[in-house]
Amino acid sequence: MQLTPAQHDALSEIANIGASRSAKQLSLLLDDEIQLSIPKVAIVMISELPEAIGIAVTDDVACVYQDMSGCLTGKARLIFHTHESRLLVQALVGSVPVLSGISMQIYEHEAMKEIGNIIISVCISTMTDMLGKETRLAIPMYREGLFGEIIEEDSRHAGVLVMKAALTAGRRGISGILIVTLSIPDIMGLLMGLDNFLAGCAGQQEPE
Amino acid sequence: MQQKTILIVDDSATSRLLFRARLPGNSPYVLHEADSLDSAMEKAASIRPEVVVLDYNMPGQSGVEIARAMLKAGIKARFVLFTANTQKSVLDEAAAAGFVAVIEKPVTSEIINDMLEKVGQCN
Amino acid sequence: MTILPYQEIIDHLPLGVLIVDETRKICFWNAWLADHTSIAGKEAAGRTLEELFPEQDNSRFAFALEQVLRTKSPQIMSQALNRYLIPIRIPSLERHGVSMMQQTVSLQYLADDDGRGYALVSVMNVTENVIRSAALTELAHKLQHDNNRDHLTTLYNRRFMWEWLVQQIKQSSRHGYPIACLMLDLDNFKSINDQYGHKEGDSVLCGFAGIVDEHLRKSDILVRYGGEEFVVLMPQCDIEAAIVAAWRTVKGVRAAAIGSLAPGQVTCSIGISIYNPNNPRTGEELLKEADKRLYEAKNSGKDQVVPGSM
Repeated sequence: MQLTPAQHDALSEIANIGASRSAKQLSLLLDDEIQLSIPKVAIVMISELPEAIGIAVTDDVACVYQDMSGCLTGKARLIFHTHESRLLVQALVGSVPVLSGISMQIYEHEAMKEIGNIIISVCISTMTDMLGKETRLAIPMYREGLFGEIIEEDSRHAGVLVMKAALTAGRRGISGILIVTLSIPDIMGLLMGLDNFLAGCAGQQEPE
Repeated sequence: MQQKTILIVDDSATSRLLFRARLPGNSPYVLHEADSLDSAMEKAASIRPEVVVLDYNMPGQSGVEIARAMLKAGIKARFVLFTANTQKSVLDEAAAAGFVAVIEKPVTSEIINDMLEKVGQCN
Repeated sequence: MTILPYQEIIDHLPLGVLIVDETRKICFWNAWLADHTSIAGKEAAGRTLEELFPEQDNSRFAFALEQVLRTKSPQIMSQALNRYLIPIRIPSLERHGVSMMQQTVSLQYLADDDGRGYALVSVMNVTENVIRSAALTELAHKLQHDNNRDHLTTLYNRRFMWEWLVQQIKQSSRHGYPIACLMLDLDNFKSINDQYGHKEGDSVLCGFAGIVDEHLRKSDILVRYGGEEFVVLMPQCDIEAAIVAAWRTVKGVRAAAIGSLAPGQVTCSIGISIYNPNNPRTGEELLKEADKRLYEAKNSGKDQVVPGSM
């Protein structure tokens, strides 16, 4: 899906603000410096998603997700490669020997949910605040599995807003991708919101 | 009377647009824009701004690095960091590099007013 | 459907429930919280959590609260990253290294009939899970450790040795350094067992291991190979250094009181072989040669070192 340069720039800036605010909250929570790369944004069709984000349907991923309702209805998901997410949590809560594949630290999932919830809620609320779109998120959930299985439940005709960023926490680098699956009408609504936002800024320019 | 100028350096056109939109109408400052290290250095040398507002998170050099380059080039201005990432490490970095203020994104008229007041007090 | 007394229901729930308004003041504090904190509902009403527990750093909670009230979306505070929200002492579990109740907290948005927003805060006690998890972790560490160790002497076992040796030989070939292999055997151990009993025999084995260990470098490993047989593997050690170390060990053992035996009563024999990366062979072959030298040492009067050829 092609964004105009102005729309792409506006979306990037919104993503930048959302990601930066998340980084700040995470740094307070984890009591450590968090570095965040400049997020890359795109809007794609669900069929183009794996290629667009470089995650194959057969890849093992960890996912924190929250259902969205209101002006934007769909699902917000934060995706990490399973191996990377385990390393991240271990760096934060300590490492545990793995006995024949059974992870002893079940409460790792709670920590991932909290981290994911912060990123999702801050990024989504930044976007909805700046674009004036009222949206509610449901409780955060966690699951691991094949990427293909995770997005299977999405409609074939959905569009996806993608925000990809790398964060470094606790001296561990991990790259995560925020994908927001929405109906095409909602995507169009989002784009209109971007246009209105830009027009509003331009209109408010004071004559010199 | 010499016109006072603000130079905003941010790679995002949207961010610069928003800043311009929130700059109060009765402000004595004129706003100029730059989107990278090179254009920033060029503009700063020619227009000699009172205030340089720099985005932190930019591809290439960060806002702090650009400020350092400007100081080195002898550009005398008050530097203000512009970011949504107000972690302690970032604030410390800004203070160490000589920034007089850090303002948060997304910017509002109030934030800009407070910042200009603070900058005014520095002179 | 019958109208149920909701307040009473919430009071009976086995978890902490509090409701906070837009000014962060508590407007509901359930019986579970009152029982566990000794702060009654009436006392808590109209105050903030910061006022009730001033020593706590509530910044994470403050942010979560602000997010919930502003965006009307839920927030969670995991035990792993926050430990607890409400400080509640549990002295009965202190021996497990936990003195405060561990909690998972969730915040949800609520609105009243006038549209005013509130945060519903649920506090769940997960202390037992945390303790159990920590115990399992400790057990996992121990099992991993035990898998590689001889029970009596706590030295490495054969299983570990073979795995380790395979890796070391790879390193040796890559970086071009030799590995020395010493095979040690306690002399006349059977008669020690017969004369003094198996308990003393065990004591001697442990004491012997201790003495040998004193003569090794940090990079060397000491393995219990058999009943009274031991192996020392020394990476980056050539034949001369190996011979010196071996003789030092033989003399050290001879001079020491081991177990309840007097110095001189316990001696050992050592056979040496060297892994040369320029002439590669398997770990089995390396040990076989050391074993042959050991046999020679035994047949030449014991209490001595017989080195192999490079």
